[in-house]
Amino acid sequence: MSVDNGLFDNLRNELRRGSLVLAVLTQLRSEQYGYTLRKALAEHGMSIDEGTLYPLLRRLESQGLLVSEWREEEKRNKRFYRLSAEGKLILKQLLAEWRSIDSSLNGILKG
Amino acid sequence: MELVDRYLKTVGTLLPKEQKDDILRELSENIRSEMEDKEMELGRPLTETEQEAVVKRHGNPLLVAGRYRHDQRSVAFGRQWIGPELFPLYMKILSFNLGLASLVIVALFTGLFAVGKPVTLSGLVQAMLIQLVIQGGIITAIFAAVNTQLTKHPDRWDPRKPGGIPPPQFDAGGATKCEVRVPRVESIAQFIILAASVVWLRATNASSHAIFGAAASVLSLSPAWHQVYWPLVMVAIVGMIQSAINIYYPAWARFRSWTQMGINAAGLAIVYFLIQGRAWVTLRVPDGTVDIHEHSLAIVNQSIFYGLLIAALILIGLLIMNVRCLVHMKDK
Repeated sequence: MSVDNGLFDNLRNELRRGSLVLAVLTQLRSEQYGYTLRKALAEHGMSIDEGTLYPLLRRLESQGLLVSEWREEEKRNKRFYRLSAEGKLILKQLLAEWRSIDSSLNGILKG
Repeated sequence: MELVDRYLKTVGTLLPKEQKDDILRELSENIRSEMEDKEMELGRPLTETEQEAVVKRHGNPLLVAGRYRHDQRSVAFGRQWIGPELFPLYMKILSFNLGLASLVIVALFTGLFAVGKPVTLSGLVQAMLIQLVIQGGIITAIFAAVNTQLTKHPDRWDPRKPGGIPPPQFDAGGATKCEVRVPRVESIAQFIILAASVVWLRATNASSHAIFGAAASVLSLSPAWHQVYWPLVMVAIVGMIQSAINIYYPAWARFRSWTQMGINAAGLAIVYFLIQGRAWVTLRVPDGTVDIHEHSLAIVNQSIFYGLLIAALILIGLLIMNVRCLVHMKDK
């Protein structure tokens, strides 16, 4: 049976999309700027291309989940992001949801 | 770092104005940090190929800029035909074309009303709807094709070949700017507008209904328009061929300027021929009543005369701009 790579890619992208938001929010419990955040995510096996991550940060900020500020570091001005109070609350709820899905899926897989 | 600057400039042209500076500043810092990091890791400056790889990973400027937009609307019937990345450009071109067509239609209907012709709201709506179907259909189809290409091959762009990425522009000694490379977005937009124009010309040549709507029962275009139909179509097709070539060869800026000069000159010749005609719209009324409407018709034709004069002035301006661009490119 042949595998439709395009279909697999689409389904994988859908699966990753939601997880990426969770990964970004979790990683931003401590303050980081775009490039270091991407590196940190990649080190944890969550590679995300720049053209997706940077606009995503903006979107999360406009949704009130992140706050940012420009600050100088190593003689360069960088925009640092971290979770907002609302972001912390949402992250807590999302993580609970994630664990619930994980547990259900594991139950289905074992069953 | 010229490569990074050019990349940022291209993304910038596609970003919403209010966020542009802030986004570019951040994007620039992130790209430069990544490059510096790699240089520290390697213990040497990055080669051009390595710089290109970093820039390329940031993504096609068209897609990246689209992702920064808050407007995530798309066109979807069953499946997505035009994604959020292309949607703003799609809306801009569609609005421009429909806006222009609506202005012409409203002006014509106003003229008719002013001269006492029977004008109905349903006639106006019908004329607008015809334009919406023709232009909306063709522009949507072209954008859907571009969207399919971008979705299937998002990485099919080359940071070294602008169009892709237009390099810095240089002044042509005034308000006009000449590009040593033609931005691909510009060529795509030109192609779409001209394709829509050809379809519209064909429809208006086949039936006055496409331009006058219900008013076609009393109005018709003079024979002069039918005489310039094929020259107009040829000019539009030449423009489409030029833009199609520049989509694949954005560096052929001189080719564009030469072709545009030809198009401008041909346009001027067509406008000159039309101006000689002196009557561009005629009345379709019983023979006995023509005299009554002669004065009113003169007003409509006078308006078209001024429109043609303005078109001639614009064409002369464009012709001069293209000549100056060619001179500057030669100097370069």
